[in-house]
Amino acid sequence: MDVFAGLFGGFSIAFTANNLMYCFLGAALGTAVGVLPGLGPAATISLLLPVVYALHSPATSIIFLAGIYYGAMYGGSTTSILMRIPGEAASVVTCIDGFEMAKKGRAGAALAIAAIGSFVAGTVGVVGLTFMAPPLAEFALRFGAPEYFALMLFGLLLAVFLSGSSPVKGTIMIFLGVLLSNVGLDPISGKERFTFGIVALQDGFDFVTLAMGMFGLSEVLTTLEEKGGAEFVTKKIGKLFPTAQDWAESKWAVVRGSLVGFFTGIIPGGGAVVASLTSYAMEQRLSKNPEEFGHGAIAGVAGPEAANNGASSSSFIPLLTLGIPCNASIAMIFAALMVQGVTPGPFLIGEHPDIFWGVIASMYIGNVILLILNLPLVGLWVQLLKVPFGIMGPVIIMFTVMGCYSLANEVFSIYVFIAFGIVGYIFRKMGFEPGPLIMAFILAPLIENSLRQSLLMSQGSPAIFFTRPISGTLMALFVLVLVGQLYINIRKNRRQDAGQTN
Amino acid sequence: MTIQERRAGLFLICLGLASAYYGMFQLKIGTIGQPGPGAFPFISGAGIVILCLAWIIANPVPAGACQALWEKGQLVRPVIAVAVTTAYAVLMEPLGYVLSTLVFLAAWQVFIEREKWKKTAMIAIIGTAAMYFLFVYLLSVALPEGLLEDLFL
Repeated sequence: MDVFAGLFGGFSIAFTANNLMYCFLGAALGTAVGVLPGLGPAATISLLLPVVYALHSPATSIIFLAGIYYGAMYGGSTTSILMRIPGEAASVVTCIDGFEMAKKGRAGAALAIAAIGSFVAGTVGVVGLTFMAPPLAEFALRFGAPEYFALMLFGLLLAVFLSGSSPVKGTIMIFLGVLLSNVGLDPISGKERFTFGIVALQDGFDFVTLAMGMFGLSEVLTTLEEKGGAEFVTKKIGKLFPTAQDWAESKWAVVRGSLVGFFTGIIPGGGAVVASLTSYAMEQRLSKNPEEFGHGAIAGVAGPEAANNGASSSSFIPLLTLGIPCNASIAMIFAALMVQGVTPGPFLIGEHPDIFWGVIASMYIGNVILLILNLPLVGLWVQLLKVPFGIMGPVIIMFTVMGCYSLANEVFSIYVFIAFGIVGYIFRKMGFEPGPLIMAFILAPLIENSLRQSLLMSQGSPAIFFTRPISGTLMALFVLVLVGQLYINIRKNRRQDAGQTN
Repeated sequence: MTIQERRAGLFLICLGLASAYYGMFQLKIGTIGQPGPGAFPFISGAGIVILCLAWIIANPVPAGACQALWEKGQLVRPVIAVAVTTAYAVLMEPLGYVLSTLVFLAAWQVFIEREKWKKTAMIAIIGTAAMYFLFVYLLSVALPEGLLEDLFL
């Protein structure tokens, strides 16, 4: 299929008034979420899943939700630079140098370079998505159940090791996610699992309830711990245009950030957070003046901000071509598609070209919208930070509560939601990230099905996963990464122990 | 590792053991070639047990380390928020959406934000009206009806 013909068709879908409006709404809402600390894109998308059902158009809803995801990457930098609080997780490193720049009265330059870097990288990411996704989808058509099984295992493994927190905790969360997804009727034997006679549990937990509790409610509870709002570092934004020297210092950082972002975004478990951290480390290493990092180096803002946007665009590649969500936000979008009866995967481009190309085309438009929203209008978003949490908190809860209730018009799901919120809150306190749990919860039924199908194909021989070329390669990679990572961890621990005894 | 982490680990071990037992004896695991309904509960339960054991054994709690998970008073507002939200869920069907939302918003402002009654009333009324408008007119969600809806709408 011709890429240009597809893209042209996509633009004709994205440019309809309705889709254009939702693209704008998504981008604006994403920026807002990015600006507001304590509410990330994954939480917001989960809050809006019930709204999405009402749209009755998978293409429109994904255009909307995608806008929230990449819009949040733009907005996140604003809070990092002005308040030294990451608006969302992928902007953590922007706090370091962005804040230092703001202290020196160069907040405007920092905001501008973040927005421009985001735009460049976002666009690079979408161009990459446009040209890489179709051939990858075609390749993925050769995948059968064993390949999917191997791919999902490998994806979950990478998600654990790249998530940044402890791999042991990450793996525990994966197993817990699998366990939670087992609740309900077994799809093959029809036997009830973990229902304990409760009728409402027969259909299992709804992932919307789970995600809203783990992301939405637990974030509200965490924010409530702190009394009083955050303080502005500076209210003066200053000149919004970078100087010639700023350009010279940051242009290669933007280019490198875009590429780093693009490639980390494709890897399962990668995504915006990892991309921005990698880019920061890389810029620091490549810089002629590494001592400036931490004291207001503009490359330390440009690189990571470009990287998180590049990654947010390219993480749509595995979703749209393989049907594998590679981070929590994408998992929410995956879920939104599934709920509307669309299975993301290699068949998407052929069966639903409107979704595939419409979403891609909308991302080109969305990036332009976001550049306008974030550069001249940045002052507007800063006002948003004045909304007290006494209003934001209950609004988030009212949304989530209604979202749960409207799933089946019953109060039981609100109780489940509250329970997951409490569990998620305690997990957060202990340093367990909810991301891998949600990913495992969504992938577990697919893993279970592909495992059982594979074993049917091979008449019960698990050798099938190792003898087929693609799944064999993936399994070999799985073992390689696992063993390699264990080896690195053990060596690191030994070195630490040795350091302690000395 | 903190004491709390060890407790969490021990709790998860119990959970893992229970689910592995449940998968093995109640649901039947099946064979490698033909996994039964209990296979995944067993695998994930066993996985949790093994990982938590390794985690606890590899990271002993340093002697004298006693750091509270919550600082003093830090837990108050989250606990009230959970209580208020639970009350909201309990009251939703008996009172209907409008009345229960009014109560929820007022309770939040009074107990969590410690606002004065005037501001509380204002936030509760405006907030409820806005949410009602949003859900009913923009999103056409079916809301539980109660006393106020019967009287006025």
